[in-house]
Amino acid sequence: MAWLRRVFNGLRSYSVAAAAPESVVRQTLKPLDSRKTYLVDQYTHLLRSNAVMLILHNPTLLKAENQQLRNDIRKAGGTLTVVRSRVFKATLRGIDHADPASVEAHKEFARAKNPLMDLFDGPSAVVTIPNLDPKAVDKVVSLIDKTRMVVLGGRVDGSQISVSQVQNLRKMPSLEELRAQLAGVLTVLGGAGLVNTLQASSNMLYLTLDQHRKTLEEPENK
Amino acid sequence: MITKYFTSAIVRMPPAGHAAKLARVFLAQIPPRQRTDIDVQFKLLNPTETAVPEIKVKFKDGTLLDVDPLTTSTREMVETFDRHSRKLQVEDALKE
Repeated sequence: MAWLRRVFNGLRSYSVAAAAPESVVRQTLKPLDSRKTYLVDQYTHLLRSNAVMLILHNPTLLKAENQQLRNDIRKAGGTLTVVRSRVFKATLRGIDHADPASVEAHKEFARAKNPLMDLFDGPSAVVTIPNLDPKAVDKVVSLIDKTRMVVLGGRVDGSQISVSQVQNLRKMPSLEELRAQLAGVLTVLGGAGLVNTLQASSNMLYLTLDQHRKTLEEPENK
Repeated sequence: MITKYFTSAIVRMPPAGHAAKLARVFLAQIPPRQRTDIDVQFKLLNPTETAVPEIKVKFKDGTLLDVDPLTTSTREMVETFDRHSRKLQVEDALKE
């Protein structure tokens, strides 16, 4: 196995060197190829690429329960990730920096507080949902309520929401529905006047030009 | 923490803070296979609510023990429950 490890190590250093020239090597707080750096990167990605994140208390589930829950959540449109609480806290601390795993982020945000950090005392998991979709949130929360996991709070578009706000979010119609409702209300109620006002200037322009055309055409007819 | 002699537990905690941390550590200590034997009554308190967080355990011999989640440390909690569990363990060993 020793020869294999040697080959692997050789490849690894080669690939790192090839991917990043000396000038742009990331200065990470923990070693670049360490698990902690990898996890901070993963959590940063979860935080930045998802509109909704639910934070859960994670009592260890049996393997079968765990797999069932993961599958169900995936079908509902979310992803369950069991996280390391302290590493997640460290990520939240530096999340305003471009690279939370970097030495710079550590220096700058060493004492920073994020209200979400309080929810990561103890074994935790997160469910991420890529779009602001209350229907998916509703499905996911009802799945979680059947297990021993507990929803402790959430994060929507970068701001923290409490458990009661999560419950309110579940009942809301989706963003598309809200837009459709708004459009409906505008056309039905004050709509006629608004549409007229918006059309007025183009109508005026048309009429003026039309009049102008008529006056130009008149001498030719005579 | 020895959980073998628990029959039921009452856990009430807010979503964040010291009480939450202690309660979550307590819940995580109960092994998944034992969760059918121990009846855990869990309640998540609303932060605006004035209800007091609590961790209460009933043992197989009927003893009730509770810790104050606001002032107790994790180690103290484990010691409190283990002290009684060890008594029951000794009794069990003598019976055999």
